[in-house]
Amino acid sequence: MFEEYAKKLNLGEVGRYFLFVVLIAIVLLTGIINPRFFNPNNLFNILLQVSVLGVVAMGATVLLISAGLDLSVGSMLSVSAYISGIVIGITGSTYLGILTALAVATAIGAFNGLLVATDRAHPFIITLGMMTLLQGVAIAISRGSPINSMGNLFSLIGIREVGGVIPLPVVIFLAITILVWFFLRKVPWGRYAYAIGGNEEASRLSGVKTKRVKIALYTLNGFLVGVGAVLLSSILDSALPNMGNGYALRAIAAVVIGGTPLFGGRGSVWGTLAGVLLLGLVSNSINMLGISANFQDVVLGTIILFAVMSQKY
Amino acid sequence: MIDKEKPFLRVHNISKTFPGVQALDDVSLSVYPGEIHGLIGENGAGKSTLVKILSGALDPTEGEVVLGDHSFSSLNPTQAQANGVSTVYQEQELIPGLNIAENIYLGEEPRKYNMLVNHEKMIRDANNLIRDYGLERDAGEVLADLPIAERQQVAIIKAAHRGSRILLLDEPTASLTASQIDSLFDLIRELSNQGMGVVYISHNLEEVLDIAGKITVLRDGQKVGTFEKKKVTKPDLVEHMAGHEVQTRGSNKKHEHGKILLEVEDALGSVSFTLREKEILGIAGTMGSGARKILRGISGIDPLAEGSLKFRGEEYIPENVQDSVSRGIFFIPEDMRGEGLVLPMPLAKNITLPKISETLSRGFIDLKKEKSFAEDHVESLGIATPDVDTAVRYLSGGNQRKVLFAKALHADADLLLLEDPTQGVDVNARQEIHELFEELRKQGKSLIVLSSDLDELLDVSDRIISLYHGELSGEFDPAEIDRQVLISSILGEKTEYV
Ligand SMILES: Nc1ncnc2c1ncn2[C@@H]1O[C@H](COP(=O)(O)OP(=O)(O)OP(=O)(O)O)[C@@H](O)[C@H]1O
Ligand SMILES: [Mg+2]
Repeated sequence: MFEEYAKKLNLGEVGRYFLFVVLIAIVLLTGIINPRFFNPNNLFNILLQVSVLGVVAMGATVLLISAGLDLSVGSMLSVSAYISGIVIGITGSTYLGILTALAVATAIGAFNGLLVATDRAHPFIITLGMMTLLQGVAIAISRGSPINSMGNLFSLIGIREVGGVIPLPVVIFLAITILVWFFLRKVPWGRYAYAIGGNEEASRLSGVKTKRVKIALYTLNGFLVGVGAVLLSSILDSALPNMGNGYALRAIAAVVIGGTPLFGGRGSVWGTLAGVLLLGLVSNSINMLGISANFQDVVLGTIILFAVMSQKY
Repeated sequence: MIDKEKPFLRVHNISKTFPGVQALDDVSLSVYPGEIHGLIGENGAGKSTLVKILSGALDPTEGEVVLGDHSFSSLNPTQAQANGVSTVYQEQELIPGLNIAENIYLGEEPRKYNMLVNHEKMIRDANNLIRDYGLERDAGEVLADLPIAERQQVAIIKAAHRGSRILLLDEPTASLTASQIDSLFDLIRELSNQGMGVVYISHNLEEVLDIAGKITVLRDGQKVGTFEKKKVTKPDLVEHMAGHEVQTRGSNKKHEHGKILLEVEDALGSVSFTLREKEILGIAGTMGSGARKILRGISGIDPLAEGSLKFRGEEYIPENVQDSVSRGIFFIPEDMRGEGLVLPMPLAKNITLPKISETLSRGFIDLKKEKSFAEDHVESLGIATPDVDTAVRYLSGGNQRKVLFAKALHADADLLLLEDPTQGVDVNARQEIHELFEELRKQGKSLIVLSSDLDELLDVSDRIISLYHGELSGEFDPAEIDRQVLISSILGEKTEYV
């Protein structure tokens, strides 16, 4: 039944078109009502606001292309940021703190990869379990209390601007985007991500070491979450046990809006970049238009649903 | 009740264009109740496209489809089914976790007290139904436990039970053994007697001539004609398909072989054989003969449970597929969509997958290099595709199969292990692939061909061994024997004709 209507309405074509129209309409409308929207500062501000989500979403892109998934990235981010905050507090060394965040997240990512590669359960279930576990760890080690200063991290990354205009986190986000693009396009293991997502058995029969590749991809995802943890804690100049909440689903939403199907085999970083920007623009417009924060999620959710429903497989 | 004089299915001037390809061009066709209508043509001729249009999976660009008294300019799957069209692809419309009865009555289960499913009655009815159609099974058996051939029969029985008037079969015998094909044909004939129209697609012209009453030939999307079975011969059909005369290959010549390449000892407990360089070894065996297991063991896909291997004189235990690929062994599976190809990935990337290292410059994939590699293979194998960036999903079945060979060529394997290498391939392309075997042999490569098509084995092999229930049941020089000898050997009679 629904198929019939969808076919009649041609939701695919219209939807895709519609999304662009909505996006441009939002941008123009917001700009007209509130000209400060087009202020370069505001535009960089939008980029800054999505930089952490963007980095995490790049990891999710790689995983979704390979028909994988990691729901634990949010709590992974919290745990690694918090531990890095502890290390900075004890040693006073910002660099050691950064290294710690990257190492902890990479290790957790690798562990997720190991579990997924056993093929004992779907990544959804495995990483759902991990998500809960890590949330618990974050609360246990923090005993619920935040770390209120990340030392020099704030001035080193959080408020640093390249050339006096572009926030450093934005530069890092864009650099990561380009690196992941390069990885997917030019590095054999990036190619294998597509192959495994498209047909895991055929990849194995072609000589791809599918388990190893999967572990590597989850590890890479962990590393990117580590980068996200460093960025977020430097921007906030603090570490909270629940600071990563909501990142997993928003990252996956951005990836799917960007055209990567949940069952893998296809997708690109540019799609994800567009998805991330869309989410950022919409939140910003909502603020700029003075719409009550209570309605933000309603609007965002509607847009996500629209984007996803208009996708053609 | 059924008017046999009036066609149930009529296709009027159907055309279908894909970007860059005219898949069907003004094709018309009628199928009467009870008629078995063969549909043949070379790879890419448009057969599957026509079936997809009739089943509502694709919309035609032009033309209309008439089912009974209703005419449609486009159909969706629900409409197609409601108007009596059933399509049996593999066994996709069945649910593996349910039993036979549950599958047949899905959505219309007999009730008890108007609410609960009446299981006893359902099983009883289903048992009667499947026995009527000659399927010797208990309707309580879970579908997943049945071999593919019988699942297909369940799908067909289900279609018949639901009152379908037209059954579309696209290469239904592709993965069946000879006796399974016989029972399928019995079932099809039974349905035809009951007034069901059948559209039957196959590359096996003998089969088509056996079962069909009329045969329509497509070439490059156009209809060449519809022929009465009685008035055509196989060579006629081949010529209609190709549009020119086709030479068949001459008999086997004796070939010089090189050093021993592969030694298999006591595989599965007792199977031993050797293979020399430049040799083509055929393996014959029915399902369960163990031949597949041995090939999968040699190529590192599954561990070889028993026995040992030597490759180029060295002891060799493949740990994974990479291991065997890097030694120069490449396996081409029969199930090309499930195990052979990454369907959403472009042609070029599929071809280079087994040895991506060849495409690297300074450690990174060189897309230009990759493309030119792929274009060379596409050219040398005559793969019909708009370009090498097209996802393999969009190629016709036969061309997809050629992509598997392109992968082996790219992997530069010395030993190719082939499972039913020409399944779903048209007569001409089959010939081309057989010629490719000779070409590979000239390049010094060795082949092991496992095929359920005994004529193919007799045609291409230098030597044939046959397996029965995990044991060697014979070894033959194909020049000395005929089909019959091979058949009795794969059915377990011990013979030796070397
Ligand atoms: N979805 C699609 N997009 C683009 N081209 C397509 C698509 N489906 C089929 N084609 C093209 O249409 C032509 C007809 O394909 P079709 O699958 O109908 O051939 P076929 O007669 O079934 O061949 P085979 O015997 O190899 O299965 C081919 O050139 C094929 O590449
Ligand atoms: Mg076909």
